[in-house]
Amino acid sequence: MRVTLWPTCLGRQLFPGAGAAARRVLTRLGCEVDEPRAAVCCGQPAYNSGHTADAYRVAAGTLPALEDDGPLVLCSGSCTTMLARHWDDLFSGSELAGRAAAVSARARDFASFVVRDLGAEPRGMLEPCVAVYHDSCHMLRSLKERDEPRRLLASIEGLELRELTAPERCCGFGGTFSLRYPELSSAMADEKVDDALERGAEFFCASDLGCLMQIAGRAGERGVGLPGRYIAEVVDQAQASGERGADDG
Amino acid sequence: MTGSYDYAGSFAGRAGVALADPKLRAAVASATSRADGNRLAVLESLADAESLKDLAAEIRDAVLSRLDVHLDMLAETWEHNGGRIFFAAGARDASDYVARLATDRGITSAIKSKSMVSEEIGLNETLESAGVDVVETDLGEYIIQLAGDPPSHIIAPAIHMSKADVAELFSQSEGRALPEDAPALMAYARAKLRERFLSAGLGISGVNFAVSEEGALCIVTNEGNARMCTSLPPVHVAVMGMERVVGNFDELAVMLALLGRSGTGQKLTQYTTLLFGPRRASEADGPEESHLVVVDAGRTNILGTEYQEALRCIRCGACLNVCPVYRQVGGHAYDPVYSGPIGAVINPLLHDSPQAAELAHASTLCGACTEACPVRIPLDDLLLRLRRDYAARHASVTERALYAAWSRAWAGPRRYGAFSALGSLAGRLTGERSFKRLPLPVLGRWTKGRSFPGFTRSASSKEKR
Amino acid sequence: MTSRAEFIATVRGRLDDSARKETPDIAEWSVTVPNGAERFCAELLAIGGHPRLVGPSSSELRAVLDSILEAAGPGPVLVTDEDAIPHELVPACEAEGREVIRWPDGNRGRWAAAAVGVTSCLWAIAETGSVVLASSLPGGRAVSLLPPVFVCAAPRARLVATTAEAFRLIAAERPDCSNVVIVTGPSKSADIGNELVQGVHGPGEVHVILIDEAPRTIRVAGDG
Repeated sequence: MRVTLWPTCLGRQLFPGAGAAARRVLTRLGCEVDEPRAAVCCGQPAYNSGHTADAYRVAAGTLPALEDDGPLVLCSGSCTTMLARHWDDLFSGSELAGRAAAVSARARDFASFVVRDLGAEPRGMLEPCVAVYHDSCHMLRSLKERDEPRRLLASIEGLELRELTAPERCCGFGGTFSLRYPELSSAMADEKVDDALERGAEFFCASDLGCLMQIAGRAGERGVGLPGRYIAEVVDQAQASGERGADDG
Repeated sequence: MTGSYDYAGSFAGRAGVALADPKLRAAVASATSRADGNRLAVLESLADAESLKDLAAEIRDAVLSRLDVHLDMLAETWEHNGGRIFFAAGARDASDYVARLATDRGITSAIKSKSMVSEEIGLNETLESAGVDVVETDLGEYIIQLAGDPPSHIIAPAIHMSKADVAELFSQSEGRALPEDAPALMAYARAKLRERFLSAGLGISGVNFAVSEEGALCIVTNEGNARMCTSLPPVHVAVMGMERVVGNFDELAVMLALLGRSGTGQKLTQYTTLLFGPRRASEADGPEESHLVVVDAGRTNILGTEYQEALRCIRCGACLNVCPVYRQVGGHAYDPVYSGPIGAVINPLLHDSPQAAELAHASTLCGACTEACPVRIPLDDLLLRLRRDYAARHASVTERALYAAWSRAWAGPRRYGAFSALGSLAGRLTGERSFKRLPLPVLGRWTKGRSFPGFTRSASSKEKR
Repeated sequence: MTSRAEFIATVRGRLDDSARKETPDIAEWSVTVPNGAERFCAELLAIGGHPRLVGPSSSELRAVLDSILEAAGPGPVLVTDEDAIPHELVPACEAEGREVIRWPDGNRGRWAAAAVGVTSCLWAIAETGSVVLASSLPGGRAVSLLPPVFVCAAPRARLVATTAEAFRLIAAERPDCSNVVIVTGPSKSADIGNELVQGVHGPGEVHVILIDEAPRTIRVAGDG
């Protein structure tokens, strides 16, 4: 299957490992992966701040790069929500509305694509470790994808996945909220960091790079050992060591 | 306590005050967690809570779409039951009417059960300046009235105070030390208020729902204070926001099933009082006069707009209890009357000011509020729309310029290429290391509390290592 | 100052006639409640009330009333003249030397000084452990409100399943009175440090005696 993989702006600028891992996982699962080099941003930062015209300008600039056949896989639940839920509104009345709708209809979050569309359980194995999964609000409440990421992670041997005490609570990122109210946003992240540490997590795993940056950034500032990893990175590593394990065997 | 919250200033400033108060944050976090846990547990007792929420939203929408008809009918039926009704366009009209009720009859002592709309219209201040001594009788309201605080939660107004705070407050007021013991403190307040209940000339209450076909008002409390306020004084006046109407008792039953469950995790609030005007000649107790004040105070500006869904609100407080922002800062950071997600929506709609408008940003748009709402108000969508209003009318020149510059730079691959090249350069210069402090405008705000992951040499999906 | 007509005209002016919606059909949404009496007792107990399920025998009723009165503080018993009030109440009070005030005799001061208030009810609700009271004589507002202990005698035939059903009955029978109240357990508050306390303004102790039609043995729900 041919797949367009878009690591999104955060993936490009700050977390190049996320997109690279997603590409390797999808390739191993038999996909032929294309990356839309000219795609920039879905427009979400401005859209969520009420600057709709600026959001439109950016989204309209990116739209042509995403036009293709086949699934469009994003390394972000939040950008997937922007396309699937808000592009309709953002492009309404514009001449691009039809084209935007065609792109939106193809948009899938990485975990959902692997579990639902490919019907795959990538498996693999890791050295015994304990992790928690952080639900991003968009994944949980907009896309209703609570189980898909957990199923991906549960298929990994050696990984003990524990539930946070309050998995449904926002980490405080909120896009530009995190810059508008940094102290408040950090206080919200503290609860998440504490929750993960209390559950004995060695690292946390997320489907949204914004949440990842928020929680790992807070943990880093506090100097507590709680690295964050994008879900595809964990799966990729497990698959790789699974293959090595199989070779050794 | 309120002295430190500056309502002419910004939400950020007030949030800062709250963040610096660990006692407040602990009290709010534990109380809201418990309330939300109770809500979820008790919703399970319904055969199908989600369908009931749909029905409740439909009922509220139908009422709002015919609000003129319902209000007209309510006036007829309430007067038929012997009640008097006054329609107040402005906040001042409403509070003046109540003050005149008292002064015309020579009443100097009033008792009041909790009413958010009375806070909104500044009723207590108007009564005080008319020489009427008014005492709040909901235990939480009694506490904050003594403290001189505004309410910090729609249904738990003293949620920001600990037991020790209350003990200290009562001790100060009484001039002797009272123990830090909830039953003892409650008994103290009960005795104090009992005297007032038995002697007051005017009883004031809010209204949870007016039932237009029946000429009935429904008021719920857990303490029984609304029963006192509407039964003991010779004159009763109820103050309601004009949207708080249902058509009949069937609709009321649906609303009450969700109100108790969503607000306090109860299948039904302890006392559900239905009032049909003043006492009948054949009755032995109850008020001789019963007045209803229907308040607009900005609500018509919401009616018929893209924000009308906000008027479905039944003031249960569930959205406050699930809100991760409210959890950190409590109610005072928002506004003296309405806080949490619903406050962030209706304050900007009721008051046209930059201070109120900023509240639309006091949310991560996480959507927990929308999910909890028993009448399906799309709170996060409404906040998003309000942010558009904010951007158009109140955003600073700097903010606009930043978004405009950003959208130009990111509008296409060519300019974005230059932007990326800058990032890669930064990545090369910094060796891709992460930062504790980022000396940059705007982005530098990130490092107020969080480390920054670091720029990358090559902005593409390559291996970082 | 606006008149009613002006106010309503303003509201009408904001509404779009084409957006008017009909009131939805209220289908049967309510929970089903089998074993009404058991459920009533379980619900009332869970919210801090005292349910008593008794047969019609005089000795059972007397025993229940004795136990309630023995535990109550000193003071008169304020009682309505409703048909369902157990006849055993007066002898039970006399045995303790308690004064009986027949509502609405006396005045507010005396009512407020009563230790116990006793009424019957229009209906009891199994789903929530509630009782529905009307303010019209022989009932009234003060009896169930002012004394610290409230006792409600409810013939089992008046038990309905759900609040939805109770509201349908209120609408259909529309008691001619100024106040109907649904009392669901004792007065309570969590306003002091989020700690639940009972008896803030209304009665802190609520007993509902469900009186069965058929003879049966006494059972005090929740005891033991």
